[in-house]
Amino acid sequence: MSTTAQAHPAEPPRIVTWRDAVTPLSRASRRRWTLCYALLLVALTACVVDDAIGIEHQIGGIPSILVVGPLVVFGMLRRGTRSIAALDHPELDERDIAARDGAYRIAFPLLVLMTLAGLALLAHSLPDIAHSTHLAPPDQHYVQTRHGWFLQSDELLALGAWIAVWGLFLPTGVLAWREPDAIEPETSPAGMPEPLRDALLGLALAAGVAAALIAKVDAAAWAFVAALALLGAVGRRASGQPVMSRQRMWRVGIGILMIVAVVAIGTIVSASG
Amino acid sequence: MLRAERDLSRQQLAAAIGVNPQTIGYLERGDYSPSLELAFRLSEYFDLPIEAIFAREPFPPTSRASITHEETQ
Repeated sequence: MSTTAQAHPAEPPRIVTWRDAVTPLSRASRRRWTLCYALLLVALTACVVDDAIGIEHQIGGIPSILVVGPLVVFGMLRRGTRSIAALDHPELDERDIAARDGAYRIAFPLLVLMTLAGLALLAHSLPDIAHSTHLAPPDQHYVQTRHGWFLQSDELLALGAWIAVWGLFLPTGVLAWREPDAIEPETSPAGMPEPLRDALLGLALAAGVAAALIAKVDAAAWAFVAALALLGAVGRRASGQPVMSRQRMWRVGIGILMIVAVVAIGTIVSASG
Repeated sequence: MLRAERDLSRQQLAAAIGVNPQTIGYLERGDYSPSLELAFRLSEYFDLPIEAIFAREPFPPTSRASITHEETQ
């Protein structure tokens, strides 16, 4: 097409939020975060599935970074692809629909593969007792050994969650991988370069996951949240907007005071008890 | 070029032909080949034949195109 991009004053300035500041717009950035998301899911699975301890004892002990991280990264990818993967999106045009359908065509065989991988992982991680059992047929005086999988609700729940998580992620992940670089807004504020932003956020995420898995420090998730807040503030600053509105500043201040009060009361109660 | 000549933003053109502004950008960048329906809509909007808007090869730079046009005259 013989038209070219040109700065045009028609676009009104948008309020930049932390979500805008961390949205991956280039294909390279989206691919980095797609891989990151897949790694987070693998780390989450490694936490849940433990052949020595069993699934049921692990679900309650999932580090919060492995819950917050995938949710945030999925949201980033979703925004980075303009939620094209959402079915019945009212604003999809012919290009978006073609991109979405192509992504689903690739995502479906990948989901089948991941389901098979989940079954293989489950078979490997099941305790020996679940591979065979001794059943006494009714009205019989002998015990019959049967071989196979004897799944309980926890294993079935974990398998269902595995399939659901990949089923939700794969269309967006494939789309994020395939979509070309987003078109820059015609009146775009200069923000932090994407590679630098990704490196900062990725380091905070990796540090949080490492601290949670190796040092068993669950509070490391706050480093990731702080990095998100920092990038949001930098994004607002770069677009010429105040880092935080006065109303928001009051809300954040009250929130911090409440957290400090709860921690202080907890410390006093535990010290006196 | 056409959009700039008509002093249109991507939003305005997108709204006029019923697509997303991103799609206009992808068309301009050559990342997307439109359907025949969309090509006709653009053709009708600009009041130009389709081959004046789209080509299988990249369009030559404007300066070269104008020189060629003058030579033919």
